[in-house]
Amino acid sequence: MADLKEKTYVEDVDRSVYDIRDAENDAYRMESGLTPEIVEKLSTEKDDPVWMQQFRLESLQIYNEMKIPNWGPSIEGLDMDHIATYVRPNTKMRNDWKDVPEDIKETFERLGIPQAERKSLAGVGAQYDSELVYHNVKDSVAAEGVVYTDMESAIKGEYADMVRKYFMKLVTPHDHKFAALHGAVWSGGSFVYVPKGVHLSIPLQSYFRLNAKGAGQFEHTLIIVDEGASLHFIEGCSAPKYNVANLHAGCVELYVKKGAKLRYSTIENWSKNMYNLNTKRALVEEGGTIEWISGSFGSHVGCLYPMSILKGDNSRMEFTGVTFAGAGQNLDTGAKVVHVGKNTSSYMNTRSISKSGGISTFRSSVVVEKGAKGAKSAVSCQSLMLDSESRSDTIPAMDIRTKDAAIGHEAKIGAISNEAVFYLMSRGMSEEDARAMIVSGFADNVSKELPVEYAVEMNNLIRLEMKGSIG
Amino acid sequence: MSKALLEIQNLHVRVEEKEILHGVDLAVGQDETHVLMGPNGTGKSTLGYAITGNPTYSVTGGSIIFNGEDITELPVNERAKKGIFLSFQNPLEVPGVTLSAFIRSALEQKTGDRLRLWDFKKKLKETMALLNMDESYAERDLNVGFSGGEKKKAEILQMLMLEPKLAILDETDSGLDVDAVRTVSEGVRLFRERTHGSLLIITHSTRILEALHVDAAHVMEEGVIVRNGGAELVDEINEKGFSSLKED
Amino acid sequence: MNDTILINRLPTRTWNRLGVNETAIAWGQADDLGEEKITAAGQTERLEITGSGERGEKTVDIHAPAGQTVTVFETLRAEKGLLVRTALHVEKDAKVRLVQIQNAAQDSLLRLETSGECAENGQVELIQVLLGRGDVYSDGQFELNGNGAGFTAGIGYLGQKQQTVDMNLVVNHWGQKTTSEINAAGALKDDAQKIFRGTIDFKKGSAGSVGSEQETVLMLGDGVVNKTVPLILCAEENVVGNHGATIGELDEDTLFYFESRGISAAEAENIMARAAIERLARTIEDEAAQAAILSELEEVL
Repeated sequence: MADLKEKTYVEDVDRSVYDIRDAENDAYRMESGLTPEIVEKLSTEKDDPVWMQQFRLESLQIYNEMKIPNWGPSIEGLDMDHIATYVRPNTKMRNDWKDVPEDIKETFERLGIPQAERKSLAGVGAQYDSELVYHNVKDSVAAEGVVYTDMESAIKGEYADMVRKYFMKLVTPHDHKFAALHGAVWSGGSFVYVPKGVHLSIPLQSYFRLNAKGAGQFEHTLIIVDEGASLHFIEGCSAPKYNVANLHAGCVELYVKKGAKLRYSTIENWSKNMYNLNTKRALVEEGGTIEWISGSFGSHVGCLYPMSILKGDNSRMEFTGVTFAGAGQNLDTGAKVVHVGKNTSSYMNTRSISKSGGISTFRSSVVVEKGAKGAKSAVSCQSLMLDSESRSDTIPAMDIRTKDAAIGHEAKIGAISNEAVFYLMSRGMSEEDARAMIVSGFADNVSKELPVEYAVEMNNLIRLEMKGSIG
Repeated sequence: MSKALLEIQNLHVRVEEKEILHGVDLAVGQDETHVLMGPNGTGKSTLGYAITGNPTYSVTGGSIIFNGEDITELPVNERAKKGIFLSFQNPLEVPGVTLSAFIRSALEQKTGDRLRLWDFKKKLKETMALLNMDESYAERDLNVGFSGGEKKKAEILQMLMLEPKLAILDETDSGLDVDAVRTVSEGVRLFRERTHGSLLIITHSTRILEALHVDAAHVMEEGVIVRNGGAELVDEINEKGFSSLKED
Repeated sequence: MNDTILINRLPTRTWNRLGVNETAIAWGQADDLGEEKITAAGQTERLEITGSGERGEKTVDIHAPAGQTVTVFETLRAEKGLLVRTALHVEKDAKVRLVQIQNAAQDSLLRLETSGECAENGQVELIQVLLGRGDVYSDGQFELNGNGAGFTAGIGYLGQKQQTVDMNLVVNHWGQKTTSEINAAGALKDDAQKIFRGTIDFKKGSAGSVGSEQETVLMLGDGVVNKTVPLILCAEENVVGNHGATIGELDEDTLFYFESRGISAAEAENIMARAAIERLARTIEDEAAQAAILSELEEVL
């Protein structure tokens, strides 16, 4: 059976892009498409341990067997045979920006990463295409036993056993087709371990940049916040625009132990040829807290629903999100929560904005299991339609299996009030500025929760999107 | 004082982790009208809830004796059946249950018997007329869409129908216009006259007291009773306000 | 012959593992119970629809001519399997008031397929009383085609024992300044299972439209399963859509209020389970129907 499949796939591969070398930065580029040979080759390139190579091949098989989901936005424009799954930048990973090649360093300088690191971060990881090019953590933080490293080092180094124990156990390759794809071709990403009782007062940040045309990025983020510890982790991402599809199918697995707290913030600004099919999940134990802050601005198609499993008694989750879908964008975002332990609570507060033909969908799932006595959940989602070319859908679902629960849900959809625009204009503001200000205000549930530099960046993104919206 | 109906001894009450009442002593005799006064947020409503048995308000010390029986641990509905009534400051809206059906259920629970519908309706109608309540309110959903005044009247209506031994009126006069206060006050007077039930009136104004004979007054500050007296105490506070008490 | 058929489809799919995208039931060849055509304006029609045999299928066609009001009461007596298809045609400035009251046998299966289309200023008022005996599958599809068309739905249900109550209601706003208001309220006891899918869809061109939907579920049994899926789909800027859902036990404040009047928790739950139905019954403003609902409620609870 397996042989037959392999043969079929080998024949299907487009050989013309075999071993492309990027003229500009001399990177290594895996041929496009997906075959066991390609996955094996990738594994060899990355010098995987044996179990990981096995894991990749099994994941590939699952990928081939699984169907594309029959719900959500169409991903017809994504042709896996034309996606390069592995593109290695022409550098080893560095821990000093001076050693990062000039062109790549410039890219990150433009994105403000080294500056932010100096000012307000406890550690930074920077990924360029498939591999990390920079990783550094402040000495004082490392001294407390905090581990922050790239996944490749983690899988082979001191923490190999811990990583193996947790890697893709929360999001398994069976979860959905793109989780299986991730299992087969993942590369890069970060591993964080915060020891018991350690509180990081300033955030760690990973930044993901996908530079290569027609490529995929499949970074894996694994974070373990041990008992009583706390962490704020920030994730940023961007890419230049190409006229062919790029794919991002990352995976984030978060383990929040007893009494621990993790805040996971993301400002996603992929270019508008990106298919962002990302999977994020947190497992929260007794008395633990997961907070998701999520801003989705980029991508052509986005499917992103961070999931929280409230396993321990008294565990809680909060999800605060904003999604801005402009021209050519179909962003399907939201969150999922499963209440398992007793007296667990969840709170979702989201805003979505649709403009210039953009489609935004809020999708949520609240599941309260039979044993989850005393569960409390509140969902509030608001949508703003900026014109009649756009679309905004709200698709929540609740599945409640204990009577001892208090579940609330509210949603609103509407347009900017003309009175508000008039009021601001009567104070001398242009209509464009007035509308931009109202939209920024609408999205302040997220900007209020972000560190100030990121809030400013987010408001700039909104301002940029609102430019020329008066026609 | 005649035989005590309600005796509260050294009562300590908490809400979540915060203690609100720090040892309250209070006795209300049968057939008496008591007034409980004090600035906002000193624990007057908490005392009302504690006597009624609101599970949010946990008694951590002391006791509540009603009619010679220790009711400190008794559930709310059992206390109600023994004759304790609270007129809520903010009566709850209950969609789907009419005012009439609600009172009927309460009466049936108290007596353990089905009511004779005709007698019940007759009495309800008469009592509503006394309170200047439009008859249509009987068949409207309990408190849903009632004005502030109508909600308070509906509470007094329940009191008159259920005929408790002790009625606690929590700010029943607040937010009402002059006419409504007069009607409510008349209802309260009728309650005393007809049933000789006792009253504990929580208020920080005195408008509701005008038609009533006050037997005793108590002043609460920061979770304890700081003064006990007769009707003259009400007048004193009316003139000088609560700050005058501090000099005592 | 029994076939498995898929009914009550959500207009747009979501995660399959939630089991809300559609419902599979066993159904097959049914006896034709005939078609009823109602056009008489300005009066009230009462239909007693009684299933016979293993499965029966009845069609009701209601037509309200321009400017006229038609009121129809359907009492649905399912013995075993009964499917009732009711189609409403509402012309300009006309109104149809449809009251559907379930009066089913213990192990029956009742399917309702109710659809309607409204011309300019046409109004539909739908009342469904689903009363705790037998399984119910209700699918409603309404098209607000004309400007100013309106739809209201009042749905009251009681689920108990092993009962399934499975509902799907879709309102499509096509015309300008169309309105919809959906209120569903019910109580679930024992091991009852319930799904309510409510969709308000603002189509492009439906400027000035307003839609709202609200569901209140009182959870009273340890084995109950409640699924609530309130969708708002929107392709028009100038609209206002709202939905809300409240699911849980009797809340503490309500319980305390009842108990402070001497009413026990069990009795309070009983009163509140009836409340959703009684409240709806009162809005019907028809003594015969009210009496029928209340006596049925008495019997079921």
